[in-house]
Order: sequence, then C-alpha cells, then structure tokens
Amino acid sequence: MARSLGVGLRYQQACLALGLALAGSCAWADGHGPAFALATPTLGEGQWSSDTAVMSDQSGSGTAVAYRELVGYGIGPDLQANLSVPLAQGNTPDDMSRSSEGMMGAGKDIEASVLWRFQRRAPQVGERYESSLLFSAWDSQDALVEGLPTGQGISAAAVTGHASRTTYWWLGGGIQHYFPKDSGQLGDLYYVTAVWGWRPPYFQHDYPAADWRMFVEAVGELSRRNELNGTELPDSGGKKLFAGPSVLGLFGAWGVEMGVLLPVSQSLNGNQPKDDYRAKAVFTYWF
Amino acid sequence: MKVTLRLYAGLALIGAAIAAHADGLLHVQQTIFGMDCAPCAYGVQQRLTKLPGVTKVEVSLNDGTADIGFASDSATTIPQIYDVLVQGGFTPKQAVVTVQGRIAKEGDRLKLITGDSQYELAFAHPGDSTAWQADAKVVVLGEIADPGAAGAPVLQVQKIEAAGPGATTSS
Repeated sequence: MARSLGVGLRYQQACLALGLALAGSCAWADGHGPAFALATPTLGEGQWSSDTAVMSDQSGSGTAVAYRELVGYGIGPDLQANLSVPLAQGNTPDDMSRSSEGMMGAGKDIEASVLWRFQRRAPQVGERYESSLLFSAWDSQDALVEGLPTGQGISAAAVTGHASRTTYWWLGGGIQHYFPKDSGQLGDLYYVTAVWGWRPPYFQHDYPAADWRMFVEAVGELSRRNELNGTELPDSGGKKLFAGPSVLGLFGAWGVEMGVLLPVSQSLNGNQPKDDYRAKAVFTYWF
Repeated sequence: MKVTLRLYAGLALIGAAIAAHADGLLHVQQTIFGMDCAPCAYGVQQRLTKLPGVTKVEVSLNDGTADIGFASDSATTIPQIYDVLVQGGFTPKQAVVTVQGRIAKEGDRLKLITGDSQYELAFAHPGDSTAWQADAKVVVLGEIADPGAAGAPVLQVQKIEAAGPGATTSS
C-alpha cells in the first residue's frame, strides 16, 4: 500500500514537473478566440503574450471571483507553452463546483500547459482550418473544491475549427483528472465545447482598425462522483450544459474579451448547489 | 584621437560591409494565407519590420497582403521573408517583387544576380529576353509564384528596365 502510494506520488510529481518544465523553460495565452470554449489560435515562434482574466462563478453556494494571469510563448510556429497563476481571489465558497478550465486554469491553481497545433490548412486569404491538442498539469495549492481538499491534476483536450474574416467555429472536448488528496478525490470531469462566431460587416474594416467579433459558446460537462476514503459521495457529479454570448475586440497588439455562460440544463447526482452563471473578462497584450 | 579615428574607421568598414551585402530588393507585395485577425497582422508587421533594411511594412487583413519597402542597401532576401512568415504560423503565397541587379546569361536563359541571391527570369514572350546583355544593370518587376520553392526563385517578369539611363522594355 505504502509502495503504491509512493509510486503514485512520484507519478503525480513527474506529471506536474513535466508540465511545468514544458512551460517554465520558455513560457505564453488564453488567446484571441472565444472566452470559455476550446480554440486553436496559436502564437508564432518566439512570440509572447499576456492574458489577465477576471472570472466569476455564481451558484447556490455563493459567488466566487478570481483574478488570474496567463503568460504564453510560441516555442515553434505550431507549439505554444503557457503558465497560468492566480493573482488574487475573492471569498470563494468551499463547496464551489468545478468547471472546465482550458488554458486559463481556475481558483488557486498554478497551471502549466502546452498547445500543439498538429494540423493547419490555409485555403485562401484570411481563412484557415486547424486542429490542436492541449495538455496541462496543475497544482491547486490545497484549495477546497466541492468541499474536498485538492492537490494536483492533469488534463488533455482536442479541438478543431475554422477561422475566417467573417465566420468562425470550433468544436472540442477534453478530460480533467484529479489526483487523490488527503483521502479525498474529485471525480474526473469530461467536457465538450462548441462555438460559432461572426464578424459583422460593420467591423470588417482593415488593419489597423479595431477588429470586433461576436461568439455564441456552449459548454457541456459530465463529472464523476467525488470520493472520500474510497466511498463515492452522493452529492457530487452530474451533467451540466451551458450556453451564452461573448465578444472579442482586437486593437493591434491589444485584445479584450468578455462573456457569460448561463445554465441550459443541470442534471446533478445529488443535492449539491446548482450554477447560476459563469462570467469572464480577459485583457490580452501581444508582445 | 587615435581611438576616435579607429572608431570612424570601424564604422566605415561596417558600412562598407553592409553595402556590399545589399541584396537588391526594393519592394515586395507578399500574399499571406491564414491571416484572419488584428494580432495576426500585428505579428506579421513586427516580424517583417525586424528584417534588415526594411523601411516600411503595411499589412492588409482584407487583402491578405504585406507591402514591404526596403532601403537600397537592404540585405533582406526572399527566403528570409518566407521563413519569418512560416515561423509566425502563416502560409506565404505569391510575391510581387521589385528588385535590382545585373543580368547573367546561361545559354538562352537569363538570370538576375543581386548581392548573394539570384533569380531565374521567366518572360511571357521568349523573344523579350534577347534585348538584354550580360552584366546589364536592371530593375525588374515580377511575380514569384512560390517563394518557398527550393533553388533560385523564378521571377515571372512583368516589366524590366535599365537601372540607370537607358532603354526600357516590358514583357
């Protein structure tokens, strides 16, 4: 038992070290896509970006507010490394539910991730199809989530999509796995995301004029039950579906995006608090 | 005094070295696929501006082009432009180029020699190439269909004229 625990810990530490090493060696962005859904835009080689986010979740537990910073770096034309850290956090309820995180991370997490664009095709001016994989590892710094202390976790996601000067779409999905912490373990979280975007003719002025686009985003989540001392907790896990609008404004090296997700349906396994909304604003600078 | 003289001499040598490596590009209109947003255009502008001797970069998202102007002693080459765009995650396509150099002949074929680079000159009408003698200094306007192709870029000549006072002809 002790040996398997030791091996497990070493495995967790190795996963985290790998993630941190990938991003720490030359760290970079939440990017210039949608606010919540997975997307493919990737930094160019040698390019840096900074994303500063304000995120708010409200549920029956109360309201959580988090301020986070994400630094991204383009290792190659199709490979980006990111490091996301908390800047400050409001009075987050201990039983606040989890959400799919993408590159930005959540709560107190220190998260390292790599985004690998493994396929891209540009058939004409202003248009491209591309697909990416996202791998991340994080340390939750003993934060309480859904009433359980949390430690480290890893995630993997895939996304494919299309960007042009007028319309955008991306489809993606991923899994977040949490390692055990103090006899407790959060259940795995599976999620799928879809986004459709449009840039109205009024905003189709040429660079360097401001570039605005609007998105409709949807996020579906399925979380497994949490465990404590090997026993599944009744008031945990379930299915949630969110949808909502977001807007992205780009001004040369600056970007700002804002969005809100509202619950469309929530089929929970127990009596845990339901989500009321998720909101996010991100300010980006490309160096 | 000696230090100052050495400094001036050093600067003169550096200047001569830079001029010696001028590569003849005067203007390039580079078509770029896959560029859809303002940060993309910003990134393209930043990358191209850092190339040696670049005096102007204007990016059009709607046209998918970058207009690049060069100082007469610019050492920038077509492959360098291609490489920085690929490194940025974009897909460079055809480039309309204005370049100066001297004519070299290989049998019936004409080449343009510019500093360290050379271009294969292609004419719409083969007879147009006979008007030019070896070592003639010329300015050529033409299109390179595939700037990423291996070997010397093939420049489809649209206009060619003597670099100094002299005859002008078009193709």
